[in-house]
Order: sequence, then structure tokens, then C-alpha cells
Amino acid sequence: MKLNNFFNIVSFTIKDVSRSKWVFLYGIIQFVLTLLLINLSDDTNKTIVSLLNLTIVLNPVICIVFSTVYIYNSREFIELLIAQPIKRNTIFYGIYCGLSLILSSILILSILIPFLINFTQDFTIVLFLIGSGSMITFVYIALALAISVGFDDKATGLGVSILAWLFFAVIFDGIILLVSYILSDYPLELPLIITSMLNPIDLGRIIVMLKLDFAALMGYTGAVFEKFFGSFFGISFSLLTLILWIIVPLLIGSRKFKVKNF
Amino acid sequence: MIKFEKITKIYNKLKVLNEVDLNIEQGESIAIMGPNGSGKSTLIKSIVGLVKPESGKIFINNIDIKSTVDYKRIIGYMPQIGRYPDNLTPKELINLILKIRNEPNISFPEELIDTFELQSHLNKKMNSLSGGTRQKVSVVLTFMFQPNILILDEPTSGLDPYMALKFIELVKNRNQNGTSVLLVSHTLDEIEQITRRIVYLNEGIKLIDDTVDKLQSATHTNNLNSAILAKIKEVKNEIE
Repeated sequence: MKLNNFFNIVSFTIKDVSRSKWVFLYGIIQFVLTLLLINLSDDTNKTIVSLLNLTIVLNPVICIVFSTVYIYNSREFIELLIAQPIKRNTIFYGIYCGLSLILSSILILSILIPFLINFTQDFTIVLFLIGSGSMITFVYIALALAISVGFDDKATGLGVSILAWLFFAVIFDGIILLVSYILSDYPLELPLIITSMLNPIDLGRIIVMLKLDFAALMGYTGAVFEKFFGSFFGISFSLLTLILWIIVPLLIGSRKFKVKNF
Repeated sequence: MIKFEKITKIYNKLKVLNEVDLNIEQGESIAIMGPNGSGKSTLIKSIVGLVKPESGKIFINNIDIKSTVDYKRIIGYMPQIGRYPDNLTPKELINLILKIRNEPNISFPEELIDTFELQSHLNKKMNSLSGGTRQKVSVVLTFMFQPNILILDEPTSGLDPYMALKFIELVKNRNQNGTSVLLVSHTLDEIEQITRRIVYLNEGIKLIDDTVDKLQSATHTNNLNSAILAKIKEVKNEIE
């Protein structure tokens, strides 16, 4: 992979996406909501919990939908790039990094600036929220790329992307809850830890909640996590699993992209 | 210069290209013709790596294209639709491709931009440009590196008649200077003006591969359309 070309594509994607009105709107909405939540409560931890739920629901759906549409709309541009003396991997990872950097930067700024304006004292937990939100951004953009490369039809790809978000944000927890209820007589700690690894949103939530030490608010999987690992190992383990959640879809996407017909 | 060796491409169990062999020499100008879905675009896209054939090999200057991407330095590819990132300007796009190619002797293509009257559009966002103007951007991107091989997929489809004429003149001029041209088009007038050899594909099979002169003399007509139709009929009869 020639680094110059990689950075050219990253900066080009950043330039293109940063001028999108939708991305601007997303940043403004996140900024205003963060500002509102900060001013509604004096307790930073409570604000973080509210903001966490917002970030975990809003951020993934925006990232996955925007990135999926972006890839489909960039088809002819990608064709132009492939026709140049440049490897397909450079194009794929260049676009991924460009999208991830700009969308995570918007998330970071729209959360960080309101906290800075309000002179928040405890910044560690804000940084954890931002870190967790950024990781989820990276995961969902990787998923979007894998999906949009895998399906030629835009409507199908968009449908699968929305379904992926819906599954991890809503359906997954419902299934876990139902299974836990049905099998409540059995020891479920280990299976629950393993299943929680299968949901990036849960992992992002666990990272912030373990730092906050709000066991009661963590949900069943989070509580099990704290009991099993403790805060430090729980956070590290979640973080490593989230990294896997970025790498695996990216590898699948790049392998498909290498042989894709345009 | 370009050699296709038994190229086969299958989409959804359908053979779009069926063991196509083709040789193109330096400076030749060839029209790839055929009905919709006959494999024309697939064939030319396989040269620039946009389509990956199931089997067969493509050589450019005796180099197997699977082994490198550097061979693309001598190719200018013009797609059917010039659709580029909405929020960027033609100037930014041209600069990106210049940076990617990083050719020491190539600078910003002022002359081409003047020829195709793009000066006033250079700093406008792509989403504010008409289809024809975006096609002119494609022309600049294709020709600015003085490529040895031009691959043109229905290039004049979005251009107005005046710009189409300018475009045809440009292609003829480059061809006279030794550039090989592969043209996919349905416009016979354009094909007659630019190319001297016709390759006709039908359902992925090469039915005709002959020069325009030979086609016309063999079918005793000066009309290219009639010559092609007569030849197709003849070949189909032979097959049956």
C-alpha cells in the first residue's frame, strides 16, 4: 500500500464528507442535545448516562446509514480510482479511514465543546464516553463498508445496514433478556459474557458504565461483566473485543472489495 | 500491445464473456459493438481491473495485468457516467488524480480545460454541474496524462453536439499520434470517424473482428450499418 496515495484518499474523503449538509446537521443535533443534557442536571455522571444512551442509539444508526449511502453514491468515483495505478486495498482503507476520522471527529467535538463551555470538572468520564462513542463509530463504519461492498443493490444494502443497527441496538438485548428469563435457574454468567462480546453497542455501554461504577444501570450483561472481571479488566476486555469488531468486518469488506466487479 | 487470452466472465451463472480472444496493436483504433448486455463494457472494464474475469489472461505490453497495477499509468479510461463526489470541485478532483499518478512531467491540464470550456466550472461543487459538464471533467481526467491506450465507454453520451465533435477530433488526433483507442459506442457516426476496426460481441461471443474496409468490401456496401448487419447474418448462418 503506497502511503501517499492512502493519505490522498483519506484527506479527499474527509474534505468531501465534511462539506455534507447531513454531517453538519448531525454535528449540530449532537451538540445541542449534549448542551441541553448538561444544563438539565448538575451531576456529570447522570448527564453521562443520559448522553451515553443517546450516543449509543443515535451515533451508530447515523454512521451506518450515512456510510452505506456514501459508498453506493461513490461508485463511479471508486471506479475512477480503480482505473488509476493504485491498489484496491489502498482505496478501501483510505475511504474507511476518511469516513471514520471525520465522523468520529464530529462526535468528539459535538460532545467535548459543550462540556468545555460548562467547565466540567470530571473530564475522565467524558473522555471515556467520547472514546467509547468513537470506537462504536469505527465499528459501524466498518460494518457499513462490509455491507455495501457485499450487496450490489443500494436498497438491499441500506436495508441490511438498518437491520444490523436495529439488531444490535434493540433486538439483541431483547433476546438476551428473554433467554436469561427462561434459563434463570441455570448459571448464565459465562454464556452472557460471551454473548455480550457479540454486540458492539453493549461493549461500548459496558466501557462507560464500568468506569462510572453504576452496576445497577449496566443491565444484566454489564453487571455480570463487573462481577467477573472488575472495572479495569472489564474495560480492557471490552476495548479489545471492540477492536476485533472493527478488524473483522474490515477484513471481510476488503477481501470482498478486492474481487468485486464494478 | 493489448492481448486478451480466452477471457471468460460469468455473472449470476450467465456467461457475459465466453473465451474471448483479442489482440490490439499499438496505434490501432477499435470499436467494440454489440447489443445491450453483450459484454462490451465488461470486456473493456476488465482491462483496467474494474471487472475480474473468472478465467483467461490479459496482457499489456506482455505484462500480465494481474501481477501489477502500474500498467494503468499508460491507460486513460473514460466511464459511461461521470459521477463524482458531490461536495468537491472539478479542480480538487483533477488535483487528486494528479497526486495519485504523480507523473513528473504532467501539470494541471489548462489546455484541455480551455478546449472543453471548463474554466468557469472548476471551483463549483460537482452536485451543481450538469451531466454534460461532468462528462467534460471525465474527458479532462482521461486525457490529461497523454495515455498510450484510451478506453472509452460511450464517451459522447452526455456531451452536446459541439463538444462531441471536439472530443472526436481530440481522439482522432491522439490516435494519429500513436495512441491505441478502444471505443464502446452505439453511435455509428462516431465509430466511423474514430475507428478502423470493428469487434462485434453477441452474448459474450466475438462474432465479428474485422477492419471497416474489409467489412464493407466483403459485404459490397459503403454503409457501415448494413455491412455489420450483413456480416452478422453471415456469421450466424455459418454457426447454425
